[in-house]
Amino acid sequence: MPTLSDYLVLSAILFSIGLAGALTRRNTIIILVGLEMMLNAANINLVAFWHFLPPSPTGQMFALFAIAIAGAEAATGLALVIAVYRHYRSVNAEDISNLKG
Amino acid sequence: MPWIVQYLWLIALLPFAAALITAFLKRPLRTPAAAIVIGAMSISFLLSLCALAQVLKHGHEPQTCNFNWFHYGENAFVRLGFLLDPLSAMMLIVVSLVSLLVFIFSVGYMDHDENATRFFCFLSLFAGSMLALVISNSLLLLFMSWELVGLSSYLLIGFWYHKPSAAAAMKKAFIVTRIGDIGFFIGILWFYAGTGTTLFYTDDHQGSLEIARLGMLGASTALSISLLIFCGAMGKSGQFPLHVWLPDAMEGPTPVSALIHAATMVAAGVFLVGRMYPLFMVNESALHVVAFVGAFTALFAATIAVAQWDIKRILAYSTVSQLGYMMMGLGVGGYVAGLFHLFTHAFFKALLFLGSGSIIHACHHEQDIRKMGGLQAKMHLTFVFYGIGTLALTGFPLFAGFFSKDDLLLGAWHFHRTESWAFYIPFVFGLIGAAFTAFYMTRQVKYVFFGKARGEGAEHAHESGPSMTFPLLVLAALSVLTGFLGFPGHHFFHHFLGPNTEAHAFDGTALSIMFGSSILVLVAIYSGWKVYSGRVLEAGATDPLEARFPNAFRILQNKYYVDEFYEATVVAFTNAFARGVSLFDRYVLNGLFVLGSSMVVYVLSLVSQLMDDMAINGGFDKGCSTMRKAAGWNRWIQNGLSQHYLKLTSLGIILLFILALYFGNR
Amino acid sequence: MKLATVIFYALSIWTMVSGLLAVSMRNVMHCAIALIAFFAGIAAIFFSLHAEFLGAVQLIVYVGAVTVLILFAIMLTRDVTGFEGASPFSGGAAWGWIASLAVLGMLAYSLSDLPPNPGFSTSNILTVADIGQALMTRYAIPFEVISILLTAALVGAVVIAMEEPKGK
Repeated sequence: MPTLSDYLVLSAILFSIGLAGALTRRNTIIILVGLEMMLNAANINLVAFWHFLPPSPTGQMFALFAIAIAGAEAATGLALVIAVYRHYRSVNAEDISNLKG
Repeated sequence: MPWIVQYLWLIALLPFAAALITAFLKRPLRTPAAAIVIGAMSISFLLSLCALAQVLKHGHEPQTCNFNWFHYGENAFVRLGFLLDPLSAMMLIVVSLVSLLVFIFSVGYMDHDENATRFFCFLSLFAGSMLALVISNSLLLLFMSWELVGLSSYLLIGFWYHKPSAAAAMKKAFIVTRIGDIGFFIGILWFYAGTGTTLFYTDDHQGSLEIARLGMLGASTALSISLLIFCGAMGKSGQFPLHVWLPDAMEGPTPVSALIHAATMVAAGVFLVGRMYPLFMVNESALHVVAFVGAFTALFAATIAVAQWDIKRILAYSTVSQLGYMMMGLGVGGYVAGLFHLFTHAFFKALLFLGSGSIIHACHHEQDIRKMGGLQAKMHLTFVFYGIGTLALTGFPLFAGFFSKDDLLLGAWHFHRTESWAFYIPFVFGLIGAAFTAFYMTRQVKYVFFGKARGEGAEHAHESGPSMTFPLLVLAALSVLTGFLGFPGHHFFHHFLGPNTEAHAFDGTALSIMFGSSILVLVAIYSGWKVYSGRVLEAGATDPLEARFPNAFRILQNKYYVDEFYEATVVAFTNAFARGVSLFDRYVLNGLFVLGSSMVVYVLSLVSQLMDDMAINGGFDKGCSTMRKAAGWNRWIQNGLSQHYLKLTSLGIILLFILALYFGNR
Repeated sequence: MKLATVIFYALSIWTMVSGLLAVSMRNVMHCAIALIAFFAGIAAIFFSLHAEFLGAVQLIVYVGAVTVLILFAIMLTRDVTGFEGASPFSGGAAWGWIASLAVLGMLAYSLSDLPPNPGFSTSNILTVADIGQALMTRYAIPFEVISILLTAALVGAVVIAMEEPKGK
């Protein structure tokens, strides 16, 4: 039987994969994909805790809220990508360096 | 609990709600906006009357309605509440009545302004926060409304934000009061730490003021907290040296000056000292500081007012001076005297400001008294009301200011029995200040209403409409009548406000002070009348004082160069500091640091190149591009790429984790 | 080996592989398709944890909505970019990989001294009715706040992505 720590390890690995995606890719859309993957990995944590440590429903409820927030984040993020694209004619994160000091 | 105590919050909520509704109204809907705001304010006024009735019926005991705001732990709550006691009942009446009248006045005054809807929204927001400030039973809630009041004042001073002077004035007001608020906030925290509650009064007598009154804080702690809180009061009430923002605040529309910068908001500082009076009484030194600051401000501002040309600036300095009187009154131990002066001053100063608004409106927004003149013939009603306000302010016998100022002077006289000669100072300053007040007000009235018209605006002036004269009428009546509430020997106001403070007996001393100050005032008025008559009032004539004492006049006209002093010290220091930081940033951080790190990074990049070659077996081209990249890596830390920041963030998290491991396991 | 264990490992490998593909493939469109597989795998993990409602929500929100958004974004921006070929394994990306591996190491370290199996698989079940009840009672305020947030995000997204008026 898989145990709680199995799920936690899985979620840690998926989180790192998502982080790697957000850090290494230059396409802004894929960076957002990486962020979504990290959020999903965190949700596995929440649900696993709910499953293994009953009876409070908090874990699932939080996962639910996290999904809603992630949905909002994806919508605004992609809207930003499109707006940025329209401005710079590019979605390459390395072209968007107005923050340069 | 009586219903009015339970629903006290409605008084503050209604104007807030009106502000919210008007905020969503479109610009041309000025009439509905005015109707909503005035309607909400009238209901608030009626409720305030109910509150007053409740206090009269119930007596002096504070009546509270407390509730838990949020909890931050096991059985630990942040509690807020509303408070009804004589002080808040009095302030409720003052604020709601003056606000109501000013709202009505604004309908006429702002009839040409296309942003009147926004104006009413801000006014209502201000009134709501001021009422909330008055009824709050917790220092925290008081502070919140305090800041809201500051915000709405900021918005209203800069209502004509397209004028650079107004934009500068709004910033100045906000920043200068902020200086005082820092002290106030520290005082709040300290007070909370000392008493363990933010509530002033509670049902089981465990409120912070009740604790403080018992002397449980210790004298020196109480002194420190009082002085910190007084810092906030100084900022808001324009006491020296934080008075500089108040005259500049006259850049706002005149009804704003009347409501905020004369009658209500600036009195919030005085109210605050009155509210915290049990704390201030713990250590007498705190009250002495209040008395001396107040007395100095009273005289200081009164002398400046003598040499100003702008009608509103004269009134502004007069306000600063009168606020100084109130502080002095509180400081010398005349709790009731100070608040009584607040009460009467609110009405006659609002009258004077609205009167000046009526004049300015009639003269097509001309504010220089040298370009007015002869208005007595053209604006009968305004002249009469303005005259009443002037007499009340100067302390002419039987007008409101006479009784309250006399009360103050009496308190200041009794102050001296303590120890040394220095304690005569408030009394002497108060007396001289009263003479100056009478003089500059006479000067102003002569310039504005007598002689011949000396400007374009004044020639075509005409009486203002009923929506502007009606509030003047009400305020004029109040300026005459409110004084009798404090008729000497009768002490209605004393009995109402404070059972614990005894009124000074109306004896020979009191009578002689009353007599002496009246004589002084009459002499000052007479000399003002004499000096400013005849040829002096013709166009192009110099001020007789200027002709006589050019140097002194110049100093006064430049307000003792306080602004210039701040410009040369505080502002210059801040700018120099900012410039220094900028230079440090540019040369030391971006130059030296980046140069130094570039060497390190260069070595690192060589290593990275080797790794690249091995990892991807890239050819020579790759190596070249990496070499070129190495130069770019000099600025690795600040390259503007969000991903790099993300990388650094994750490395930072790891670093924190390692630190936590290292330190956490000890 | 029990069935549940087999399923767990199968799902783990499925999600890891599809996740890796989603962040490492050269063609952005392929990435999106791998992402769909990843989201579906997560949903399956939710099902295996008896969180059926959440799994369904995962399918609807992620597989249904978010991926569609992402596909749209790709299609709206793809034609001119022309840098799809950029590999995530190029030199500049090395630090990214190092950083994420370090984070993984950190997480692994913190998981290593977990107390010995704090719980074991239960038949803990939260029905849709329970969730509805909880949303309307204990979690009513977060629920309302989330709904406001979603509305704001919706409006914000439309405003941000809206074509600017030609006149400017």
